[in-house]
Amino acid sequence: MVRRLVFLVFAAGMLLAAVPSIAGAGVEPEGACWGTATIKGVTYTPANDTPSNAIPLPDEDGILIDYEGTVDFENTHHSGEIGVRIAGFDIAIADWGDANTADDRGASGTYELDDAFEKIEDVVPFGRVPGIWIVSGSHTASGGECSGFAMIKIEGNPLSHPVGWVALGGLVLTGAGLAFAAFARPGVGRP
Amino acid sequence: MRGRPILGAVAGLFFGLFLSLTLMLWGVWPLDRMSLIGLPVLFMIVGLVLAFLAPLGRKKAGGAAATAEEVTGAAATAEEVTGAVETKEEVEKAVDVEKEIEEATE
Repeated sequence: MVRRLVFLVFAAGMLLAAVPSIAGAGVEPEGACWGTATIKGVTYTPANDTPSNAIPLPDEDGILIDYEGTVDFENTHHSGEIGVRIAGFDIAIADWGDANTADDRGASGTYELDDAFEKIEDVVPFGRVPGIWIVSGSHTASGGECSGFAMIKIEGNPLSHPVGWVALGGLVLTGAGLAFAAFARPGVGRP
Repeated sequence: MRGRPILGAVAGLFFGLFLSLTLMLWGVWPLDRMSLIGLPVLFMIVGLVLAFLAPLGRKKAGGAAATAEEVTGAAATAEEVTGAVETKEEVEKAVDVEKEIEEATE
């Protein structure tokens, strides 16, 4: 029995050790592409890739994001997409691509946050849920490719959304189930 | 296993899922592989370990607060306690035989 217990604890440790850390990934390969986004006067970069320095997205209408991005390789016949990453799977919310025969290696402009929220509500289950999310992006062209991610934090009270109550209720119920499972069954294995 | 292993495993699995969702909602950690797969599996194992150890509800040494079930030593049914299933006919037949024996001895 003790061996089984040691094995279970060992298995749990191995599982956590095997899960790769997401912190500090930024852009791959490093320096191949770069981008910034300015929201309410604050500029964010792919370095905003940890929960503690996630990019805050105000839960407001009419927010404008000034962006710019560059690549350091030949950029003809390019394509790419941006998505929300859940459990390692990317749900695309925007994409691009064209011949780009002029080999433009940079882009800039202004993006309306409402458009992003609209797409998130169309694609992501439960819609615009407050909390912390991973936004990933990838870009491929004839001269190379790069990918990266950043973390965004959609501001708002989780309990203003049904998912918040479902999460809390589920946590309490399953916690009670765990506690009940830890109660010794009467008469089984008593000393 | 003194506790309830199946309940522990299932409750632990869903506890991990709801915990990962709660952490995401409150801005602590996003829904990545570690939280969506690692936490449920981890808490499933925790549930199994809890069921294995069953640290709650144990009989205290010399404890006077024992329940009726603890006194009997098992969650036995009335049938298990009596040790046999006796139907009404069997009881009546036994009583008749007893009377016959008494009459014969008189």
